[in-house]
Amino acid sequence: MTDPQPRPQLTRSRRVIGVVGEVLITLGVLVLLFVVWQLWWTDVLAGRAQAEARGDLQREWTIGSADQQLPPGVAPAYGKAFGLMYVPGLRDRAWGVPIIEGTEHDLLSDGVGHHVGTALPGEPGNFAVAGHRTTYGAPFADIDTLAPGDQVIVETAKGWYVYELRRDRIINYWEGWVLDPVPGEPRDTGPTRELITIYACHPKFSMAQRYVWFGRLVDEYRKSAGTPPAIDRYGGA
Amino acid sequence: MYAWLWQHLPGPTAVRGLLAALLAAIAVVVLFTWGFPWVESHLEYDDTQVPQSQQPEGAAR
Repeated sequence: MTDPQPRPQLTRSRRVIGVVGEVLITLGVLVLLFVVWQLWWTDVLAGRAQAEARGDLQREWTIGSADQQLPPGVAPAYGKAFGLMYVPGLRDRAWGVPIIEGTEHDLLSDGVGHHVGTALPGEPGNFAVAGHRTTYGAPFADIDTLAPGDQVIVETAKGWYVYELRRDRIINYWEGWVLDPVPGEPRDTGPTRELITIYACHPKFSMAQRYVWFGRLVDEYRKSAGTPPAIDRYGGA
Repeated sequence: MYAWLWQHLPGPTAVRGLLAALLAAIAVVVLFTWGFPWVESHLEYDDTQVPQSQQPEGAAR
């Protein structure tokens, strides 16, 4: 063993530069970690949360009795999942994704969010649903690849509701009219038919605009009738 | 900064290495669990929803 070499004396300015360098490197690593968290870990967490919510709902529906079902016009509990959404055109990410009552940021990590006060699945009016375009499972990541005629299938305790998308539109983030009972008509226009609006942020990783699809109900099935053919066609629920 | 930390870790090099890795892992867990969600709530760049009630009358169609 030899004595350790005496440490060379660094000048004060060189030491300061060294610390500044370390701080900058640390900040760079923190930013990279944040990106990893945002793009990867939120997907992992959302995947778990959505699987759990889906399992809870399906169990509830299996053992559920008729009196557990909500009478028409009664809103589901805020923050709770009340349905599942299947979008054949988005099967990678939006197949059996829980539909949560409410559209707050914290809720959208568990699924897609139903705008409180808009119509419920199968009801006259506009069933308006928001979903993440990126991060947190991003159920509507590829919403721009849908085409007119594509279906959005919704399962609730009561039944299956098959909506068909008709037209898309890119709007500014503040254009709340897309949630109206009949989007495009004056707000006080009463609900005339069963419509759906689904939307997500646009472009990806931006909040400036929203990518919106409008559609209408084309079919509905009671739970006792089994799964609708559209679901079976794409490999089941 | 990191040199100071390294000098204050106890034990031989292998133990110091393990301790340093442990500290880094704890930092990542704390950031992933509390730090980054907090940062994100202040960035609010993926607040997806369009406004429901404060919509101006006759908003652009």
